[in-house]
Amino acid sequence: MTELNALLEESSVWPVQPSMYISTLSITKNKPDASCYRIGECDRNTPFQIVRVFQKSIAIAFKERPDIIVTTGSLPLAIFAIASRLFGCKVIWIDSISQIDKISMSGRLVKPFADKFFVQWPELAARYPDAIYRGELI
Amino acid sequence: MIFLTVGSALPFDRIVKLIDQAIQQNIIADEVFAQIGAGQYVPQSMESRDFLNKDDFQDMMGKSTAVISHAGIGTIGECLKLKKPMLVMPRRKMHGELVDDHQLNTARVFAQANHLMCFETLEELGGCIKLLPNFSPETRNPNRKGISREVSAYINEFIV
Repeated sequence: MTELNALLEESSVWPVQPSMYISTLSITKNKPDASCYRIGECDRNTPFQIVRVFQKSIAIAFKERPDIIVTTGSLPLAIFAIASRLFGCKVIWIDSISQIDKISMSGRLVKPFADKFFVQWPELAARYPDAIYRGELI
Repeated sequence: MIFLTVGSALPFDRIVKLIDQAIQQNIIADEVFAQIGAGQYVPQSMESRDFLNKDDFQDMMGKSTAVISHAGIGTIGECLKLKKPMLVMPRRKMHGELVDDHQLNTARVFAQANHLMCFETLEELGGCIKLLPNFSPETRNPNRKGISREVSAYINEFIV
């Protein structure tokens, strides 16, 4: 969330502001006019939770029909992005700066569904030709 | 005062135990306050809380002369913002602390660039503590504005 917050510090230039926030467990409700949802935590070792997150994601995506998702991950948000993609949502994924050698597992999962895919290391941009590198958030 | 934090998600007993040992062996002479998560290990030589709310966390960050932490990007980002000297110990896959070793990679790369110091053993921690009085972390030059402008252009493209 640190990286996403860093991006949001500069979001005043965006043509629209986020009208919905999705987080895993704890959400900071700093925008009272936006809807906020929690989809829960999961990782590759918790298959049951992965299913739960996917179910919740489908339900929220169906109800809210987001147009564009901007996210810095991780796996639960990749699942939400894919669920929303099924309803036609555009996905802007920014892979975490903590991923240095290769893009994250959640990044690899979401990549075929992502419309724009950012990395935060020039070496990664060289390895993945369709990835965008414009510096770092941290 | 040194602030030890394991982050808000998972416990990290290995670091808590190691810092406790370091205090007992006088490797760390400063007072340590610790945020340790819901772990099993009970620290013997430092005051601790499982979790801190946002204000108390910021307060401890501000008051501390140095931060010891897991190599989580959240805490690293906070310390860089405050120009706080930082020692990190990566959570490791081999101890079941994470699903991969991205914290080790993060710690190494950030340590190489002198943004922080990295340790994995009591001995390495001792070395870092000795260097701490003269350590001033290298600042970073993020490009939030540039990335945000690019994201903005894509949003524009998509909403047409």
